[in-house]
Amino acid sequence: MSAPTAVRPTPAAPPPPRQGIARRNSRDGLAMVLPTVVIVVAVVVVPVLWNVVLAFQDLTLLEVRDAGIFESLSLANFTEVLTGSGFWQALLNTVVYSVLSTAGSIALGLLAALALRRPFPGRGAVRALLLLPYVAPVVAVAFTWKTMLNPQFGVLNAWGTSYLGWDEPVDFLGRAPYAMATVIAFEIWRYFPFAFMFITARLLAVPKEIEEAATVDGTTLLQRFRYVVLPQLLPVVALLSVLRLIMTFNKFDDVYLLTGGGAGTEISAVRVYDTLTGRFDVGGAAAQALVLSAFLAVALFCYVRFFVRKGGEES
Amino acid sequence: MTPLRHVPRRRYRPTRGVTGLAAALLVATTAGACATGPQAQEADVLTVWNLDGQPERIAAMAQIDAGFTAASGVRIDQVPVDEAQLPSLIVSAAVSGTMPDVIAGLPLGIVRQLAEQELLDTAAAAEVVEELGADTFSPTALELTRDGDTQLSVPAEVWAQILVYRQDLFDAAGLQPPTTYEAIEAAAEALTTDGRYGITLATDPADPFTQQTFESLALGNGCQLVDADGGVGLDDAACRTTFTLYDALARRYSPKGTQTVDSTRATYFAGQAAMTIWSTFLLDEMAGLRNDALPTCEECRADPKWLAQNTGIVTAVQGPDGDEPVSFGEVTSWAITGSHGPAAADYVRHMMSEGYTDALGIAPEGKYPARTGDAQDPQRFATTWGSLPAGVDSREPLADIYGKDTMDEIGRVATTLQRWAIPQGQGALLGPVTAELPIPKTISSMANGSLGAGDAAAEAADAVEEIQRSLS
Amino acid sequence: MSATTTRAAGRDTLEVVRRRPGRTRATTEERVFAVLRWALIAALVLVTAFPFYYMLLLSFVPIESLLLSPSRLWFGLETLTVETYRTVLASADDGGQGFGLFLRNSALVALATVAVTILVAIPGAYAVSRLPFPGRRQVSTLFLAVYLFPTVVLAVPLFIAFARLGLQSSLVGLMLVYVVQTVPVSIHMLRTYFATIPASIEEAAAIDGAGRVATLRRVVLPLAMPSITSTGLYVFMIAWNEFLFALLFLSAQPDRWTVSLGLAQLSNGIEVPKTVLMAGSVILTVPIVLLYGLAERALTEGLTSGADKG
Repeated sequence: MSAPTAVRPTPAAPPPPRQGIARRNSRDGLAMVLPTVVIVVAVVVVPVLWNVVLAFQDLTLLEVRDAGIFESLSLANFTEVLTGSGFWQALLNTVVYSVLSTAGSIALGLLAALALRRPFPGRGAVRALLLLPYVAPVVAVAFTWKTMLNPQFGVLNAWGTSYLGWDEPVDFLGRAPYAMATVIAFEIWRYFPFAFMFITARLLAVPKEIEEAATVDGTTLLQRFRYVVLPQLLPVVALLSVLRLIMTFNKFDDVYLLTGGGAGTEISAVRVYDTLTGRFDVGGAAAQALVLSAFLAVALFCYVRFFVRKGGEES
Repeated sequence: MTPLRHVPRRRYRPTRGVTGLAAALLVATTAGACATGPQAQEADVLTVWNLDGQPERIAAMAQIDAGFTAASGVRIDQVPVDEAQLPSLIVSAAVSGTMPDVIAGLPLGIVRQLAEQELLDTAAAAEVVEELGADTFSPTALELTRDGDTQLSVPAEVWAQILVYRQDLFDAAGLQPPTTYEAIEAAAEALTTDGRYGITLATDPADPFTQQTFESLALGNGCQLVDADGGVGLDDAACRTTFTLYDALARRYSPKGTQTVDSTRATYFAGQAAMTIWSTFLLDEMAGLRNDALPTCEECRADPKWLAQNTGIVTAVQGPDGDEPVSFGEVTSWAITGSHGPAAADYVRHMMSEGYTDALGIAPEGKYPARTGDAQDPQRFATTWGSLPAGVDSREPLADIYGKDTMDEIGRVATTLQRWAIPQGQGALLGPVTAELPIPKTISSMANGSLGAGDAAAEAADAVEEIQRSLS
Repeated sequence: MSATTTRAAGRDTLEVVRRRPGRTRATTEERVFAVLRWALIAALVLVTAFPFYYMLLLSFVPIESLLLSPSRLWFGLETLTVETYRTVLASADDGGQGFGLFLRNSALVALATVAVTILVAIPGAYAVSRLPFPGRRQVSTLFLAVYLFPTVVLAVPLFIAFARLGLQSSLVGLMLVYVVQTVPVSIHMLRTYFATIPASIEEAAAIDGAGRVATLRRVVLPLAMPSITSTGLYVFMIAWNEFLFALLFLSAQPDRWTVSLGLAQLSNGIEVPKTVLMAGSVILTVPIVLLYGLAERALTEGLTSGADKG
């Protein structure tokens, strides 16, 4: 499912034979898509627009309820957000967190898909098992990791200190550089199955003939991967990168549940939450969120511009 | 996930149709919303958010409430609420117009924060205090719940942060009671041996408990969150001394890894540490009165009260830069937050008079009366408190275990306790500082060695300054 | 595009082959990779399965045994206990944590979300795949908006709006949010499938005089059933696992907590042994794993539909 192909108009839509049918089609089409549009507009678009307004107002919780849309607009929230060091640190954390998690989960997913490409007895079971981290509820797996990594009674530290010769237990989630590495590892663990699933599906469609011909010609495995398989996977990898990047950039639950944003893992989504619930600062939270969304949009735009376009030129 | 596919190719130009539709919907939603409005609640039910939310305590509250319901016909709906989540609950309730009528067990920091957001019915609180008689309350508790002349909430109960230590070990080693920085550090060093730590000290970055522990040490050294000129004081010399002490204790004489509210108690109960700092809520458990948190030390197996009998209690600590030993504690309040002020005031008045003794009896170890008596007997509740049985699975008055003198000393904390920021008129800082935990975060980094004491002080000060700026 | 790429790739390969025909090197490499491959598979299985094993194990162990020997990965059958599960599942009145009720809430929300999402997504997907209507492309861009903003951002406006509609702290409000979070993906999954159903079948039905709705119901839906199943599964999974909005909307209403929220609250509670927490985690995970076990293939195929058409 590469981005370039996907924008082609859906081939199944039949060319309208007559004017009346075309009109009926478009009327029915609108009617059928309307419920979705209504829900999305009401539950996402309107709140987001409202949020833009809130970002320009400095209101207490009670005022938020009754304030008009154009009441007491100011840039105070933005100056506060952009001049504080906390926001930029959180943004940096978010970028590190989302880029490394995305890259890691796609790389591991790719490796897994390649390793499981050729059939072997029990492959189906292994494949199903590998998808578990993705389908399992985040709250449950986050607590399991927390328990596993606990310095006092977690199994990892118990093993590390008794068998691996660690001097003392490692506080994986409470100490500055480890905590970020751990939440990234968690994210990779949770989302490599997602990449694995998509890449496996794409691999199924890679035609066997060329590879077979290349094998007969005595190419090495790495060469076949580099020149035959990888080019075919690039579009799906590019798409996965965009998807995972957006999702991880906005992710809240994982870090919130694992560290609560402590020990150098305060990512922007957690910070927005803290601004809202800790400081009761609706305007500040909205302003941060707005800046973040803008940042993400610009990053995506550049990405699409420089990578996807390039990939698309081949077709 | 795949709507994305449509981004790359075509530049998006909304047609008039879609824009118009969205606009129409915006209007429709807003208009519809205005028409409905929040539903007025029935005045014959009061919703109470209770921060003291353990199931057995909620059950005990419900029994006391029954007395009020019988007298007034107003039913009480007790909702147990976790303190860590209270702020987010308040946000959703405030913006959606569904604040509870009363919040019970509210700490001082959140009282200030609610006041800042104008969510408190201060007139109702003042009325309750006035009718009960302001002179029947502990003056300290009243002072801490006041902003100038405004009575923000009705102070109800006090608990103290105490330093508990192993009297037997101190005696054997000929050590001074740990009432000063010097004595604490000397004892921690002397008592750190094979299989035992000198102290177990909170280092959890995600728990206000760590900050409470720090503040209980800081106050006695004159270390203030906000100094006399209104600036952040955490980077001052006095606070640096406290950070240095905390650093030494946590890194050298306390167990490795994050020490939490549970682990500090567990370590002390297991006899693996000679000191810890905890709230008075520890006292009944230490006496073996609660089965799911029994002392586990070797001697305790034969005699569950052994640890309590061999524990000394310090309620005030003094540092080298401090003028006198200072106690830290928390005053919890009844806050009236809903639209049923008069009914809620009646309820709070009931809980502070007829129902008061029973309410204190739910957990006397952490509920010293902020209202010490009534018009007839100015010491009525304070006296009764001393004889209230504590515990869960077995119950016994704490004075029988720890001695009357110790319990009187704990009671005195209600009048001597000090707090950061409130005297300087910046109580509003406390809520965000408690929610964002800059001090626990730096303490945690300090304890695991990734931050020196001086840098920790500076970093904590920076974070608090940023909060201070955002509030101004 | 796939055909062009393949051809280009093929040409590259042939050149490579001509340049270096190292047959021995190929075989050595093949052997090395054969070993690496098994090592990787073993490592992946271990890393994936271990946390789940650990979760399951700890949920049956008394907390004392865990504290005594944290490094053990097997405890004799005689030490295992189901007391943890009793604690978690029993209602609050019986001294438990009330997960029975939370399971019911989660099931209600998740099932309702599936029903509403599917009901909304089927016509939406059909329209997007079959009917040329003005703004079709813009609609897809609109759906992108759902994922572009941190969900925390939606919270405040949604609180206010839902409160005015009387939906705050209700399972219905929560369900609405979940529907929005899942509808766009569902439409995508269904649309790709609808596109594979030959239009001629529908045209035949239309000629027989069936209206649009009748055609959709009698002809398209039965054919699309596999895709609808996998979409439903996916939606169920998202709704069952969701945490943030449950936290924001329902915290003050313990009788409406979902299992995820109940578990998070349990971890905040004082004196809750980790083993009880793990029992709660197992209870939260099992329904999803069971469902997924029954229909793994359908789910993965549904989610990745379109991915094979590079």
